[in-house]
This record gives sequence, structure tokens and C-alpha cells, in this order.
Amino acid sequence: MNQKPTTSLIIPPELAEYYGRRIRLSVQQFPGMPIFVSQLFNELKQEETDMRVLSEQLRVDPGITVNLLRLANSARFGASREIKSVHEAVVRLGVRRTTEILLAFHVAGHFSHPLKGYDLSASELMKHSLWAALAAEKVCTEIPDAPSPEYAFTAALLHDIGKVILSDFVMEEQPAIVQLVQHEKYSFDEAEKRVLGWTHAETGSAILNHWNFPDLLIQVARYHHDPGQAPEEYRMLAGIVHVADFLAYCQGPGAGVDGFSYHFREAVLERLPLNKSVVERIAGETLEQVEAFNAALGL
Amino acid sequence: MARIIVGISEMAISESAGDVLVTHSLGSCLGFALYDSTMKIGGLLHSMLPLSSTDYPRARKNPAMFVDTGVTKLLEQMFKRGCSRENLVVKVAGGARVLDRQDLFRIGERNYTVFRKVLWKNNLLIAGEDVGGSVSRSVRLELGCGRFYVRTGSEEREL
Repeated sequence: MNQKPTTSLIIPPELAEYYGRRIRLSVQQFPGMPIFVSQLFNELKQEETDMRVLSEQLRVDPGITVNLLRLANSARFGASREIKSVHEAVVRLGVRRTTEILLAFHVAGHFSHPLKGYDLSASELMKHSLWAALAAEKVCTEIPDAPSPEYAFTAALLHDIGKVILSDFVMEEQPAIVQLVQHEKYSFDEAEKRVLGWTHAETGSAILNHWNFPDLLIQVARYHHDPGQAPEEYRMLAGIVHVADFLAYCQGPGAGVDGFSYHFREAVLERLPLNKSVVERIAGETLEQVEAFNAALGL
Repeated sequence: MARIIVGISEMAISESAGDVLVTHSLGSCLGFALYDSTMKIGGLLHSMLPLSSTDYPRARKNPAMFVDTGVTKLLEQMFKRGCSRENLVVKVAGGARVLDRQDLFRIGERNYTVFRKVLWKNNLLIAGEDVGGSVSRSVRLELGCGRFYVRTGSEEREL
């Protein structure tokens, strides 16, 4: 198995403190989500969201209305007659799918800039996150005693949000990080930790914490590269997002400079009875959903 | 003259000299280019998974998703347009692998193995390849001249 490289900092303590201060400040200043969307993220159990309330909220948001109608009318959701109203769209897609589209739409707003530190062009992080979210949802349907699929979708959608902040810092220290990854066999997150004192996973969990999001989302973001370290109650979900993240890197866009430089934690398979044919079937099924979402979100 | 983007699990063929066939984010997927140097016809395939036996119904709907059915389909369509085996130039890129050689995610290596088998059965040799490693690639095939370029990050090279 992987020999754990040292995690001691390779930069002077003053510089580490300087980076830490700037990263924490960026987290504090990170723009929030609209209140209604934050509530949706906090509820998590999306079936419990009232359909009428959801339609009302959607109607006042012209951006999402267009996308929602586009998705409801796409052939992939079995459209037979034209859907013209938001309420009809919610009925056609169901509360869960509608909520997911809404969440994805708002997350996309945060992920729209190119992230040079990770060599990601505009919207590539969003595409990667969507791939992971839809794959995670599928994984849940394949394993016994899985957490509910909407938890997996939401947690996976947000797992890499820390990259939005950390990208600029990675850019500043790129030569040192690349040196560790390419020549000293560090995984990318281990290299971030040694050079900046923070990983994108830690940064992401700090953002979600700042937003007062549920502990489950905070912990999964924090441990998606090392699910064995997650608190017991979230370990399975962190494992599912870990697998979905790998699948998304292998099969989808947004692998960037780091996508193939993470460790796969084999221990997750003790809880997730997955084999290669199941994983490959999930990949094929995910692609179709991804295309529908991309079209709806204009990605 | 057009830039034709080939999406994941898609293929495209062109006979127009000015066209460029492009596919992005290959990851563990394979980008397979065929070019008939006499007829000046080119085809590009972006397959994500090795074997159609994983999901036959999906393979019937979209043969390009799988390397075995995708390569066969692209070859068939090239032959249908009058290409001949002797003039076909085969190039391939992608099939990246993750850090740990964990069986579950050796999709890139399985893709490449199946690819070699299908080519072998069809009596074709690989003229250029850039596969494996831990990088995601984009490729483009220029019709007219048949040049095939592989891009990793900001570096591009001709195969």
C-alpha cells in the first residue's frame, strides 16, 4: 500500500502563516448562496420539499426557469408533449431532480471561472462535480444500506468547492507542488498540504462550515480523498464520493493537472461491494444523465 | 471548413479537406483516429469503456461508448466510404491511469488492451500512440493532411 509521505511543511513558518491567513480570509469573504438555496442544501432530504413551494420559488428566478423547462422538454426525460410551465416541469422531473438542477445551477455560478492552479478552464470544475454527483447517486443504488442518493448527489456536487479558493495559491506555488507530485510521488492533496499548509479538501470544508451547511457535507468535503479518516457516521458517504470522484476523473472532463494524482483508498471497498463491471456500467449510465444536465445548465 | 467536436462516446467521419476533428478530456478513455491517406477521409472515436458486454443494450444504442464496438463501427463506416485497409493510418491516445494500480480503476489499461485486440483481428498496425501515464489528453485530426496532434496541458505534439 501507499507509504505515507511526510506532511511537514516545506515552506518557512512565516510564509505558511501568511498563506493560512489569506486562505481563511478568502473563506470568510466567499460569496454565499441565496437563502432559499441554502435552505435546500440544509434540508438534504429533498423528497420532503413541498412541490408547490418549490415551484413558487423557481418562478421568481428567470435563469433557472429557462433551464428547467429545457431539461423537462429534453428527450432524455421522456418528453412527449411540450412542457410550458414551471409547475408542469416540476411534476415531470419530480421534486428530487428539480431540486438537484436548482442546486447545480447555483453551484455552477460559483464554479464559472477558470482555475489556473488546477489547469481547469471555465466550467470544467462544474462538469467534473456534476459527473461525480450523478455517479455518486448511481453508486448508492448499487449497494445495500447506502445513504440516500440525494445526500450523495449534494455531497459530491460540493466536494471540490475548496479548489475555487485554493487555485490561486496553488498557482503561486505551482513549481514546488509539481516537483513533489512528479518527482517525489506525493499525491496532489499531500503536496498542497506540504507547500501551502492547506488542502483543497480542508478549504472546501471551511467554506461549507462558513455557510453553516450540514456537518455531513462539511465532513465529506474534508475527507473525500481519505474517507477512512471521516467520522464513522459519514464514512460510507465519503467513500462513495471518493469512488465517484475517481470515476469522474477517469471518464469525464475536468481532470486538470491533478486528477490522476490522487491515491485510491482501497479500504473503501470493504464497505462498498463494487467490482469493475458494476463500476463500468455506472460510468455508462452516468454519461447519459450528465449530458441531460449539461444541456439544461448550458454547460 | 469546420471544427467538429467529438464528445465522450461519440465518433465522427469527415471527407472535407479543411475539417478538423477534435476530442477533449480523454482521461482513461481512448481517442482513436483513422485516416485514409489516399481518399483523404478521416475518422475519430472517443470511447470510454473497454467491452460492450458490460451493457449490451447501451452498446446497441451507442456502439461508440465501448472500444470493441466503437472501433469496429468506425472501421465499418470507413470501409463503406471506400477506404482500404492498406491506406489506413491508425493513431491512438489516452488510456491514462490513476496513481495506484487498483483493479477497479484500471479502465485506461483495459481500454488499450481491448483496442490492441480489435486492431489485431482487423490486421491493422498502430502508426503512432501516446497512451498511459497519469495525464488527461486532448487530440485533433486534421483532414487534408492527416496530421494527428496530442495536447497535454499547454503542450502539444504531433504523433
